[in-house]
Amino acid sequence: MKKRKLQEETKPTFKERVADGFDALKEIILDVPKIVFIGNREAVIENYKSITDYTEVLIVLDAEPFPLKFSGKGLEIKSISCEMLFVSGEIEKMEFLREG
Amino acid sequence: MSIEKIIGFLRGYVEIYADGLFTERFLNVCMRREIYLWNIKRRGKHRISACISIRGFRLLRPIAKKTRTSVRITRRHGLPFIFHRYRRRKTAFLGLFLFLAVLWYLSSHIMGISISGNTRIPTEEIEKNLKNFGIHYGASVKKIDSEMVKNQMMISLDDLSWIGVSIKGSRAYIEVKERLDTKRLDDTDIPCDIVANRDGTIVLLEVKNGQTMVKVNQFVTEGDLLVSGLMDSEKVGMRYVHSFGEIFAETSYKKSGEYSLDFIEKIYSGKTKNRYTLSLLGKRFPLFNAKKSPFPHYDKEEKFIEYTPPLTFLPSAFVKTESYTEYTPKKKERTLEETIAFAEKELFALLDAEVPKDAEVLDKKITWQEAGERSITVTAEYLCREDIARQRKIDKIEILDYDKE
Repeated sequence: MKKRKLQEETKPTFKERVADGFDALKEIILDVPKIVFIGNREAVIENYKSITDYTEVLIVLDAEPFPLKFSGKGLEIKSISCEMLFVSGEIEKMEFLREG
Repeated sequence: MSIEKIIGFLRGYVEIYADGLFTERFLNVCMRREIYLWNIKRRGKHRISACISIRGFRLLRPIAKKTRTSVRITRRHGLPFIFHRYRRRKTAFLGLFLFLAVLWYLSSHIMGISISGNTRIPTEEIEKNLKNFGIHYGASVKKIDSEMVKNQMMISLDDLSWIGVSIKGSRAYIEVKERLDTKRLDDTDIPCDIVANRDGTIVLLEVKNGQTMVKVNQFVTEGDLLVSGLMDSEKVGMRYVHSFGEIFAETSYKKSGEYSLDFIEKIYSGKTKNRYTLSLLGKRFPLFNAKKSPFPHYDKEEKFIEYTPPLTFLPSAFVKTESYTEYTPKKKERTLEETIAFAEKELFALLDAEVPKDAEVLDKKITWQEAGERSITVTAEYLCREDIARQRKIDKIEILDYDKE
C-alpha cells in the first residue's frame, strides 16, 4: 500500500500527460524553459521570461516555474531574442532557484 | 564565414556601450520590443557592450531614456558605413554600378547556343528558326518559354522527331533528334497511295496491298501514281487501304561538265599562312590585315572552332581559321584521253555521292562531244535499279455511300 501511495504522489498532471503526446512542443505547452547545453561552454535557453541579473560570473533568468541561475567565469550573452538566449563562457553551475 | 555574418556585413551593424544602473532591464526591454542584440559582454559594474543592427539602433533611443541608460557607439561595421565613407566618390560608384550591370546582363541573357544531334538539318537553319522563336544571342533568358519553343520548332521543321531545349545559366542547349525515315508512313491504318520517287522504267512490282496501276516495262516519271490506295471489289465495294510494297525500276543519274584540253596545274610551294578571325556575340574581329592578300595564288580552307568558357554564363568565342596554301599556276596541255579520264574520275565521284545507298548500280557510261575548239563536254551516266516507291497520304476522304444503297 505504501508503494502505491508513493507512485500516486509523482503521478504526472493532466497537462503533463497532454504534453507527453506532443513530444516536440512540450516546453511550449507546459510553459517551462528548455535548456540545451553544449558541454560547459555554451547553453541555449528557450522560453524564458526575462533577465534579472547579468554579470561576468552570474546570470539569472526569470522563468516559470523557477528562476534559472547560471554561474561560472567569463559569462556573456552571445545573442538575445524573444524566443531564445544564448549564453557562452565557462559555465560551472546551473540552479533552479526554488523559492522558500 | 557563416551566412549570418555575411548578412550582418551587408546590412551593417554597430557596437555600442550601454551605461546605466539597470542594464538588465535595458536588455529585457530590447528583447520585448524584438530588437536583436548579440555579443553582449559585461564591461564593468554599470556598463555592458553589445552589437546591434542599424535599424535596431534607431529604435534604441526611447528605451535608453526609459531605462536611464546612456548608449554610445564604439565601432561601426558593414557595407552601409563603407558606402557612407565613400559617398563623394561618384566615379567609383559608377564603376560599381557598371560592373553590376554587366554582370547582370551577362548572366541573364543568352550568351551561347549549343546545338547537337543534327545530321541532315543544317545548324544554321536550326539557329535561324530558334531566332524566330526568341532564342538568339543577347535574348533575355526569362522571356524564353522552352515549351513554346519546342512546339514551334516541331511545327516549323518537318525533319524533327524530337527537340530538347534546356537553358543552363546563359547558355541554351538544343538537342535534336531527326526523323529516321520521312517517306514511310508506319501506321497501317492511314490510307495512302504509292507514287514514283524518280523517273524510271519499272522492272519488278511487289505490291503487298493496294490497286496496282502500272505494268512492268512501263516508263514512269516522278510523282506518277503507281499503286492506288482506293480499291474496288465486288464484295466490299470501294474502300481505302494502306497500300505498301516495293516497286523496282531502272533509273538513271546523269552528270556532265565541260573540260578544256588546256588546264592549269597547281604547283604548291609548300608555304601556308593562317589567318584568324575572332567572333564574339555575333560580332567579328579579324585579327589580320584584310587589305593584303596573303599570296597571289592560293587555295583557301576554313575551319571553325568554338571555345566555351568554363562558366556557362560567359559567352563562347568562335575562332575562324583560314589557311592559305600558296601555289604557282602553270599552263599545261593534255590529250583527249587524259581529259576524258580526268572528267570520268571527277563525275563518277559526284554521282557516287548522289546515288542513294540502297540502289544497285547496273552500268556506268561515259559519253563525250566536242564543245569548242579546245574543250569537250563529258557526260557520265549511272544506270541503277532501285525501289522508287514512296507512300503518299490520301488527304481528302470522300464518304463512300456504296454500302448504304
